Amino acid sequence: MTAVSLPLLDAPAVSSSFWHAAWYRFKRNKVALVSGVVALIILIVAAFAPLIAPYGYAAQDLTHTLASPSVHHLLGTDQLGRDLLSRAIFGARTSMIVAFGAPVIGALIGVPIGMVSGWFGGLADFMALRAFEVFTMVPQILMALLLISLFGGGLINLLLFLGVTSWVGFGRLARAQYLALRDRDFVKAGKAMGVPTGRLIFVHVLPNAVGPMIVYFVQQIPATIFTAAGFSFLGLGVQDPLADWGKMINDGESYLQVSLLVALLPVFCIALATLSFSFVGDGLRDALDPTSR
Amino acid sequence: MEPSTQPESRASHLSRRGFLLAGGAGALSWWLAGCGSNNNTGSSGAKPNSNNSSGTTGSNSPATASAGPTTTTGGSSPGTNALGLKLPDGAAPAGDQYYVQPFDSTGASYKALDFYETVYSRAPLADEFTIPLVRLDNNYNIVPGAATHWEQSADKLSWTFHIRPGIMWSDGNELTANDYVQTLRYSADPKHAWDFTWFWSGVIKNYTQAVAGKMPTSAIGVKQGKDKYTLVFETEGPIAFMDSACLYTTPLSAAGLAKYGSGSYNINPKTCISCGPYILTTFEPTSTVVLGPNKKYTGPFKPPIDGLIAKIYAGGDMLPRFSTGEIDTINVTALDLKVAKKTPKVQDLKLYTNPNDFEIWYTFFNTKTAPFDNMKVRQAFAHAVDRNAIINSLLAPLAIPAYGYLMPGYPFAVTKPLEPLTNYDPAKAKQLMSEAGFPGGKGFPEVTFNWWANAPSNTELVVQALTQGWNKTLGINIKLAEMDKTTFYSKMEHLPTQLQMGFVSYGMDYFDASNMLSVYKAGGRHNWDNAEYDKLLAQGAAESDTAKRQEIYTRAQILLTEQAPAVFIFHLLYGYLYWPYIEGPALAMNKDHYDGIQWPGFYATSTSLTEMYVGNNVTKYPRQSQNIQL
Amino acid sequence: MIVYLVRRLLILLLVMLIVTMLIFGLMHAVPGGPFDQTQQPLPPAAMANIMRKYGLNLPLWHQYLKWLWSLLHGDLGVPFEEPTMTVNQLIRTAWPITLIVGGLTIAVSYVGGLIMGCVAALRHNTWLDWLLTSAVSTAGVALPNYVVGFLLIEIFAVRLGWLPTGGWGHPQDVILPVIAFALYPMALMARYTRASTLEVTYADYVRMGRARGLSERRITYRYILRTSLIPLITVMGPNIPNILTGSIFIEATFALPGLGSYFTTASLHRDYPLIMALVLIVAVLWGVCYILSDVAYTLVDPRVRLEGLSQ
Repeated sequence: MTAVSLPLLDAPAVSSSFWHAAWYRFKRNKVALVSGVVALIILIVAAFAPLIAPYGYAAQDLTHTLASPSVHHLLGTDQLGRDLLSRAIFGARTSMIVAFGAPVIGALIGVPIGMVSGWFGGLADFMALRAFEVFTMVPQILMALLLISLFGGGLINLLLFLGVTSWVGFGRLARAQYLALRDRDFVKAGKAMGVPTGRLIFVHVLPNAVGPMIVYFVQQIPATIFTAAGFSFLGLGVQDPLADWGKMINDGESYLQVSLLVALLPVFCIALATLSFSFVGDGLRDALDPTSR
Repeated sequence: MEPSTQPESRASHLSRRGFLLAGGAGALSWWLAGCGSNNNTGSSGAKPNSNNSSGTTGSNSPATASAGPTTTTGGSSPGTNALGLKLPDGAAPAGDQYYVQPFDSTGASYKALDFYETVYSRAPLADEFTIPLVRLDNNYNIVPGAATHWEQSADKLSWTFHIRPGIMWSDGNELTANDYVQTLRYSADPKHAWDFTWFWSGVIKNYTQAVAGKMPTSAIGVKQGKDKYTLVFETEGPIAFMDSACLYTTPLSAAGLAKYGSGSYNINPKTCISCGPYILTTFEPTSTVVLGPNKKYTGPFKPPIDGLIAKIYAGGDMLPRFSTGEIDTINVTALDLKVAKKTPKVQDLKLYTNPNDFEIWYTFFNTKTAPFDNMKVRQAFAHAVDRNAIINSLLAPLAIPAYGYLMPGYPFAVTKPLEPLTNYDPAKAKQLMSEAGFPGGKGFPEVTFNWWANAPSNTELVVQALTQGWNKTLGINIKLAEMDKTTFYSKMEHLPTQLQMGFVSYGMDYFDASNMLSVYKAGGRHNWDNAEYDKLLAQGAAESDTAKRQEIYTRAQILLTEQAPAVFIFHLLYGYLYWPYIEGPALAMNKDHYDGIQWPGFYATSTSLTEMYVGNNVTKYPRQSQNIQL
Repeated sequence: MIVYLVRRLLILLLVMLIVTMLIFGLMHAVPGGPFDQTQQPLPPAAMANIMRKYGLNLPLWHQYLKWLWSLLHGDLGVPFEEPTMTVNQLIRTAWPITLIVGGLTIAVSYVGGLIMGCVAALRHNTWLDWLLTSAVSTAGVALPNYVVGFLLIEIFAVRLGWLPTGGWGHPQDVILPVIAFALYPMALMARYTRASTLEVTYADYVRMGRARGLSERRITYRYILRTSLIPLITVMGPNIPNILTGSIFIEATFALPGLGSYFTTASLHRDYPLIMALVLIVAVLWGVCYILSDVAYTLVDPRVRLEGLSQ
């Protein structure tokens, strides 16, 4: 059921059939649907990597390094003779864990903080602003080094680290949205009608606020992959020989003139993932935003 | 979303634009592919760029372009350079006799230009303002430098060097023994806090105590002899290798030290004092260092090259800088070579290789804790490395297999007796593991293998190949853990060491087995203690007879490889490309079939300084003009 | 407004003070020191000499107070990484280069992104929209800038010889670095602009469909545009300090003697004086950026209420 728009009400309250309507709108968006399928395929490949990949991600063959595509290796081999196709498949797994895991953690921390600070203002806002400032000022590498010295490196610690350091982006975004929306007339109307604050925040305002947050979340996917790759040389994050698209880009960059596939296959993978998740995100946002048609 | 309801005209308008774009993209890719196959070395097709170095950052005015390809009338003599040396036939005119080298400043800090001011924070083109007592030729022989001859005393407790008279500093003073005395005293001064004091500790008498503040610096065993041209070193016990160690006696000016209190006067062109052929013109440690000819030079070694330019880069790819003629030479890794083969301007250039500082790259163990306290485990690892496979796939042609600490060609290095102790023998490795109590790898704990990324040695790929090899052959599980360089060294040298297994290298500091082998002495950076090894080293350091020394050091090397506190993987070879206009005997092949400028490089400590020049074929190559007044 | 700004700035100063204490402790807590990269371990006496020379043997609180005292006199110390100059000199010579490249990058990427986003939105669902959104936008976001940098050098410097491989001192030195650096923010900007413009267009469209007349359109146009500008400010605002502090990849690839690389290397090399100075820069830049963003919200949408800011 499309929302009725009256001149002074730009964001009407949400009814129970809202989610049905949102799904309907999403389905009708062909681009978003196709991208959704692609994204799903990537996630399935990532989840079932050991079953799909022809070789292990660490299976070296020092006599056939940097080989061109052949019957044995559909996409050729890398600098250590490992099958590139398998590396890409296993890389999907690691990259998707990192690319989703960290922003999810960041969102779980940041969005509630932003919501509360934007909605209530006052002391909550004061504390949140100070938290934004402090977290931005501390150099990430120093924090990472300390973390490694206390807890060791590895993938889980990387996820936690990235998640915890990325919450500020989500927090500020959520805060800005709630600052903008809390004085809308539909909110005032809701308050006048006696809707409890919790319901107001989550059920009424959130669907209107969530659009840009989805866009931000999706754009964080490739950004997180690159950031993660950047920390591996400290010992935090993906360690050799584990395959990860970001790390494969780092490692493959110097091979650009020697083996195009080694250098560009991970780039292609990230681009594909970014594209498909972007369109899914756009579709989601359009579907959820009652005003967009 | 609603499908677009754009009017028809817009759609057709777009499709026209689309066609143009597609055509453009196709044209671009076609042209790029064709562009690459042009060979530009014949004509000056790649014109020398008017792009200059360090335009705004230098402290000198970009006045006369002293360089740039000049036309030579064929066959005429090139004349003399700024130092008054008659240039050899075939050399370019004096204006072209400068040498541009690149330096990568990643991870480096540049503080001074003198060995005795700081070793780890030396800026590019350091140690050119003096003449050391001795120099090294390209066959690694110690030859006279500022000293004409030297001898060890009969009681073997001192060495005397005779300095040639008549070498003047640019401030008018003469180079005498006093300069060396003052410099070495300065290096021991606790207030100066020199970062290389281990070098003379245990060699020069009382040096260690002076560094610790327990004796005044005037008490160290460096003194003027019977006259001002005689320098005497008193040593802690008999030291056989003093002449090799004295390669790095690049003195500061005693007058300069007295006046300025430290060696930092040499990084200011106005106060630089030099008795060598070069003097400081520009010091901009984030972009360039320039040394010009020292017109007051009276020393015996006049180089044809009278200007040195260092281009400092904070990382980035060097090959494009070389191909466009910004720099005269580069150091290439195995990967760079593959890329260079595809780069039209440089693919036909000759590759020069030499061992540089005779590096050994190895995996060391923590020998005091399980599981590597068990020698059989270490020996199993030593027999489970297929060096040839690793080198051929990852490092060739720039590495040779290593079976011991010393690289072939290094004084007293042996190879044959060491091979059977650590050759690739999977069956033997498995057997040793069983004997150690881990048959088939069962029960062997998971160990962590630490490393830090070093591009020339392709560390990242090497450690993966090593790990894979060990895991497969021995049935164990080694986990790789990368670290940043600072953390790695800090943990390795921590007491007790915090690394279980690590990949590291060592390159020599001077040309004698006592140097390299002493890394494994008790109390050094690794935690292996072997009394017999230390005894052998002490004997070797004191023994003057060469044949006997060889015997001692052979035994030491066998002991080291046999006990396997480390598995020696490869010795690195350094690859260099020079533009063909860089010529001279300095690049010629030496007795070990290595060529290019040998260690220690184009410095006062090497004879290469007098044996290299720019040829008159420089006009054929894309050498960029350096707009710097030398 | 003035009161609000002054209040926020004072609070920022207080936060900075606390953060410097935090970071001073943090950087000393991290293992490894600035003089640890030695091939041979130094004898303890020599190490003690070095620590004493740089004041690193003093208790932490003493070192911090010394640093604070010097700071109040305008003396930020001498960086371990560039020991021949003071931190002040280093920043004075290196930062302008980063700022110039950064400023140009912001101009190019923000303006370019704005235009691209608007065009894509106005030509929504057409061929041009796909190209801009998919190809350019994704390339900008998915291609790491050192890959782009490498390609630019290879094409324009090595093969064509039109532009230098890097370095600084000539006007043409900025071209390649700015192109490489601007891709990502431009792609971001384009995305957000497109999203904002789309909301306006569709709201517009809906209302047009109801033939409500011009004045209605203008009200809703202002209404909706303002809402959609807020996320744009939130995300693109902090990108500005990001760009102004440079990128180690861009500066290494193009041999720019700027300040960008130090933000990474200072921590890696435990360059304590430089770390502290850079923290101050970061603090001021971001703190001011956050304040300005908040002010911008109220300008863009007067209904936004900020604490302490009277309507």
